[in-house]
Amino acid sequence: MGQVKSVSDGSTIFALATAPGRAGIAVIRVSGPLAWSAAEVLSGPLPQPRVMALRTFRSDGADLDQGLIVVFEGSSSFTGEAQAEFQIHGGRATVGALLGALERLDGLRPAGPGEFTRRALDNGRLSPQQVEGLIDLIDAETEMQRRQAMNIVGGDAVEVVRGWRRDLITALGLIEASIDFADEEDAPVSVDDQVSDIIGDIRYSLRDAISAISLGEKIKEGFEVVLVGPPNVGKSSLLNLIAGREVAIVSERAGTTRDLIEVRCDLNGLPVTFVDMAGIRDTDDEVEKIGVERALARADGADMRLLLRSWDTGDDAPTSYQREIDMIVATKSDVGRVDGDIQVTVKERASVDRLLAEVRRRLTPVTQASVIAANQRQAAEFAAAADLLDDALTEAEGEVKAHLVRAASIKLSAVVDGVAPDEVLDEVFSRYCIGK
Amino acid sequence: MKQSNFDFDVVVIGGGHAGCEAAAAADRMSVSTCLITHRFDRIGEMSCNPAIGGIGKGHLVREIDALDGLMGRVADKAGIQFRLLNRRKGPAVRGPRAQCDRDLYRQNMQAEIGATGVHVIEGEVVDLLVDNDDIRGVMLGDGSIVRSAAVIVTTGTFLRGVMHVGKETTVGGRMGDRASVPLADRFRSLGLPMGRLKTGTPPRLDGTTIDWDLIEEQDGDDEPELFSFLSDGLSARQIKCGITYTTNKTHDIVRENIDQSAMWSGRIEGVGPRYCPSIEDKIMRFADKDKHQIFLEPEGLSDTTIYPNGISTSLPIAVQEEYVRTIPGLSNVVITQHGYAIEYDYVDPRALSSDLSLKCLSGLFLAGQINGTTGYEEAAAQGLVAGLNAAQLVKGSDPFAVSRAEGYIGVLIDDLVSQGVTEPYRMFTSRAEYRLSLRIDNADSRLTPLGLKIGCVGEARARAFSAKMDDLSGASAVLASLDAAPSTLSKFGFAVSQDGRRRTCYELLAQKDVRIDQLARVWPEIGDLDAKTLDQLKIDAMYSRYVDRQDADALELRAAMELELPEDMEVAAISGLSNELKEKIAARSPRTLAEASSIEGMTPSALLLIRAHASKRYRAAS
Repeated sequence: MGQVKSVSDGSTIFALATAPGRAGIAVIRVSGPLAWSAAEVLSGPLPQPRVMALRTFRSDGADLDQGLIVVFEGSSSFTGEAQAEFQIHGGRATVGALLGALERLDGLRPAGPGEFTRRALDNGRLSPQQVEGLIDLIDAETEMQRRQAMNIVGGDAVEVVRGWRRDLITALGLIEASIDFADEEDAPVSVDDQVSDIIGDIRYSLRDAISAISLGEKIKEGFEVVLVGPPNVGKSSLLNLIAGREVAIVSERAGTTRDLIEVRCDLNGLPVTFVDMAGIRDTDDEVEKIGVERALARADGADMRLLLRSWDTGDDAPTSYQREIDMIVATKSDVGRVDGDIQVTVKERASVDRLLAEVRRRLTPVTQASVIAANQRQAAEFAAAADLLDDALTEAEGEVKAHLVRAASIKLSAVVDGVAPDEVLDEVFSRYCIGK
Repeated sequence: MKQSNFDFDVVVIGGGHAGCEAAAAADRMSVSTCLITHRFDRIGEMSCNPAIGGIGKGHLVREIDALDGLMGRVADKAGIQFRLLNRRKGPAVRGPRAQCDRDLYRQNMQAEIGATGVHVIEGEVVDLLVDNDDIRGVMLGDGSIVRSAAVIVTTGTFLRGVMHVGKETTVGGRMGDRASVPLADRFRSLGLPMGRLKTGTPPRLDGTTIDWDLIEEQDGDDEPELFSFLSDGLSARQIKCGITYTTNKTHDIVRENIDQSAMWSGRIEGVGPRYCPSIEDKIMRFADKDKHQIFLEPEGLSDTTIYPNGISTSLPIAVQEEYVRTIPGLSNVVITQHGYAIEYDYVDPRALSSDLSLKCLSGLFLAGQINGTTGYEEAAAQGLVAGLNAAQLVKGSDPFAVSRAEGYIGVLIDDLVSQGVTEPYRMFTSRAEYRLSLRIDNADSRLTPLGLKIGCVGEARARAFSAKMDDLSGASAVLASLDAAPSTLSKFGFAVSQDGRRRTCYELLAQKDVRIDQLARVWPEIGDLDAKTLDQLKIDAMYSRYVDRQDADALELRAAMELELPEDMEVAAISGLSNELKEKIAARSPRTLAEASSIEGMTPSALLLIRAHASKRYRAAS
């Protein structure tokens, strides 16, 4: 393009693209006009673009490491520039050696923070929605968060929203054809049913996406699983074992836990916060009473409740209702048994692992719903669009209906990208034989 | 005024729809104006179909009229069939259309021009006089020079015009007229960005050879909706139009000969309008349709020529003769002039400022088809704007502009100068984002005040306008003052909830299914109010819910647009903008968001990014 100067100075940059520290594999990314030649200097003849090849990387006659090399053309790379990626062994020394070798090459320099992304933006490789997704990707704490962020960066979500907008444009095209070409031969006479079908569908999709946003936030912030049960049923002991450290004061005397105690865990990529509640029982102790009230409130809002019971505290249901996702956990199974979905004892680590696996299994389906909106701002645009479509569905006059549908499509454009002025007319002309 | 050095303040080249409006507008602004055209008796010629108005186009005519332009008045006098299109749809999208008598139109237009102070010269302009970057006048074919401070070029399709019939091509701007070659050469030497467009015409038919018994009839409206706010009745005798259809046989003939079509065979490089497809296009692209509608439009009361709207073509003469006769009612028809396609150069209107003058040559204005538009109404609207602005320039006053929120004229000009065209540009109501407020009933209240302000509105209209505004405000005060209890209203058959709250007459009027005669039964005094005034109040009330919201949005947008951008805005640091856009922004260094929005290629989301960036900078600074 020859005009990349404004931000990117035409230099070739490189950096470790994976997290520093010990890891199985490390990826070093090189981007800029010299990316391919740098890759060739270190690895010898290059494979076809976008095809991985095994190479021994050498510098100044010394073997640095054996790994995979892949190169991308500007048209298919993340940054929009020529790009090369080395996948090498993740040790500190190996990574350091390769980075050093790159730095010794003329015209290459280490990348500044966020520089790859900035180049991608400069070269028009990302939409604003993707940028927002990308920010989350960089912040992604767990694998699940990463996957959700990837969904948006990868453009799936962008495509979904574009699809809705395309459908709205189709609906608009139908309405507009019936208005602007009313006196011409092929203009549709009644389009109401077709239009209602289209905008009704999109409205449902938008509402779904809005509910999924809370899930999106959830994946970012983590699920909450509360431990509920009568005093001394073993909640704190169980939590301590989950956390692998002493977080709650555990004593033999009932009612020790007087506050909410949280442990944040990564269950194979699923961020989960376990919350230990104050034991739920009638009490005259003012301090404990407050604890109990808080516990009940929090338990109601949790994503999942572990309802603990044990042989010595009785098998009464610890709360008045149980949701499908909630689980009855029978504790102290090494001493005596009560009915429960799962038997657990702190004496046996494996029983706790089984519990955690079951928690993960029950939460996972919740995460399968696809998350379209990257954040609350986008969800707010969706909500506004859905409201406009509600009004459009009940409106009889075509020009007012069109007004509302157009406003809704503008809301969606704020999430993806601008509407070309002729988009609606394009739709009309491709569909009808218009004109005298 | 620089008048002393000039023969005229403003010279208009061309006597078509754009030229007439331009000259008359400049004249109304009291600057001395000269119109140069080949022949006085061709002024106001309708060179395509004999009709004015339609959906979107009718809106433009009303707006031209609101600024005291000519088109609406002339069409009302020449109209021989009036129809309000979309009559059963909402008032915002109703468009008046009139079939016109070609001779009457020309005669009335010539009379209008004759009644102005416009000086008409019959002649050919062969050159423009340019001094550095300023226009100084024009040179005529006989070598004489007409000096002026501003020149408006409204020469239609004269730039490299080529006509096609089958494989035969003729150089020219319109059948029977020669192209203006020397001026075209001069124009090309200005180095303006040019594009190429095409359009087609149908064969013209001798109406006395049509078997009218086989043709469906189409009547005009019983109560004709005229164009001009000043017209008070029909002038010409009214006629019927006819409707017929192509047949399978027609389609077979066109298909068999398709490779002989100039437009279809690829011999024409220009881009044609999608909304006005040739019969070749219709048959080839929409193969599943077994017939296409044809409107048979009389060209005049004393003219037997019929314009068959719907079968424009560039097939060879022999094929035209053959396929036309396969159409019911036309089996013995005589073609008086064969259809042809015309391709021509246009100037990319993005080279124009919004006053329609060239950015690179001060005082030279372009209006009409030369800017890539099609249609009489689009041409006339531009002519009007160019004429007013040429006068403003001569007077040293600020340019005259209509915003997108104020009128279709604003939409037209803004679309042209900011987006350019990809096909001959025609107005549609869907182009107007403020469509609900841009209606034919309120064109005067939207635009006449703007016209009064710059002085292009004559006394008669000013009086009529102020009387109408008084009626409206008087009537609306009456409606707001009348109220009734819900119990009373339900006795009269209104569906209102019995909550004890009194409803005003105006409130009820806003409800879609409430009619004025129902209200008059509750409040007989309404009967004294003018019916047209009440109709308009009803329309205003109906749309007010949406229009108010849209106005609020527009206001918010305007406030946002006035956001001043920091002088040292680091454009490079705005993520998400393309490099191309960044360079354009850096080159223009816009002072406000509005200026940034006028940069070519700017998108709404790019504006959002710029706005966010500017606000962030301000927050950081404070």
